[in-house]
Amino acid sequence: MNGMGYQHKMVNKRGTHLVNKAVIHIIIVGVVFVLFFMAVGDSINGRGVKQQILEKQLALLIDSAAPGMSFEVPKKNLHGFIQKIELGNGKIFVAVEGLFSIEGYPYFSRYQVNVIEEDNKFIIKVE
Amino acid sequence: MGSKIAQAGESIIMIYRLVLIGIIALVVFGLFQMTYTYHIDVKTSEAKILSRGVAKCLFSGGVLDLEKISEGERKEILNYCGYSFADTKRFYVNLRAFNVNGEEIARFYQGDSGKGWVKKLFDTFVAKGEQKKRIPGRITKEYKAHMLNEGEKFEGTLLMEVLVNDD
Repeated sequence: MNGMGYQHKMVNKRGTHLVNKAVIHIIIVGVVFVLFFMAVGDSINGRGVKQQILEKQLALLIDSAAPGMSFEVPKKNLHGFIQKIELGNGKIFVAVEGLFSIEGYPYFSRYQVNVIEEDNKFIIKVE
Repeated sequence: MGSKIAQAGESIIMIYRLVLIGIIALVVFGLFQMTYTYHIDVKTSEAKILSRGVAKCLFSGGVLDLEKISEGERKEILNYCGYSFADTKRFYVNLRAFNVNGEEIARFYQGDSGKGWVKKLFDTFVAKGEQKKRIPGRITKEYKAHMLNEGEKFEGTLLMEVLVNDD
């Protein structure tokens, strides 16, 4: 009886070990694939391209603006919902549909440039 | 003992499988990135805007007063025009002023002239794919301009070359 019990216990232990291993395996593979699909999804829905378009358009507007000019950028934009527009280190950063900008795009201006956020739009002022 | 060795072997096989899955995912992701990313080149537009800005700065009042700009300022013409250092490292600006006889009387410049060499290299060997992003934007302009030098006003020629590098 004791021998049978020990054998049962061993089989159970080995079975549990196999199940645990398979579960860990599936979780890790799942995580890799979720990350992969998230990254691919980002590429396919073109948020990066929309962000690039907005950053470059705004940078060119700032480059060519004369002092006293200002332009409005609606938050609900053709290129998606704009969460944030920031200026820093001579670069413009635009966050579109949850995609925050890491690199930004450089602008050049001889004048002071500021961004003012309002309820439904951003105002970029060149002074 | 044997069971422990078997377990270690299984773990190694599992790591190997995961690495393999990771590599396959990366390769597929790389292919997606190559297909779906799109680079918008605005360097030539930037060069045009900058050339206009520099021309406006030099021809304030419609005349280029060569005496107003010192030798030191001529070597840092972008700084003279009010562009900050952070802006200027991407650019190369070269302006050459000629008198009515076609003699060069002044040169204004700033930036790394090597950008011109890079542009020529890319033009010679046709750039493909990713390389296209690295081609500097270039614009050249020729202005007939009123200039003031040593108290004498004359209509000279100004040749301008502006190169804009990738970020």
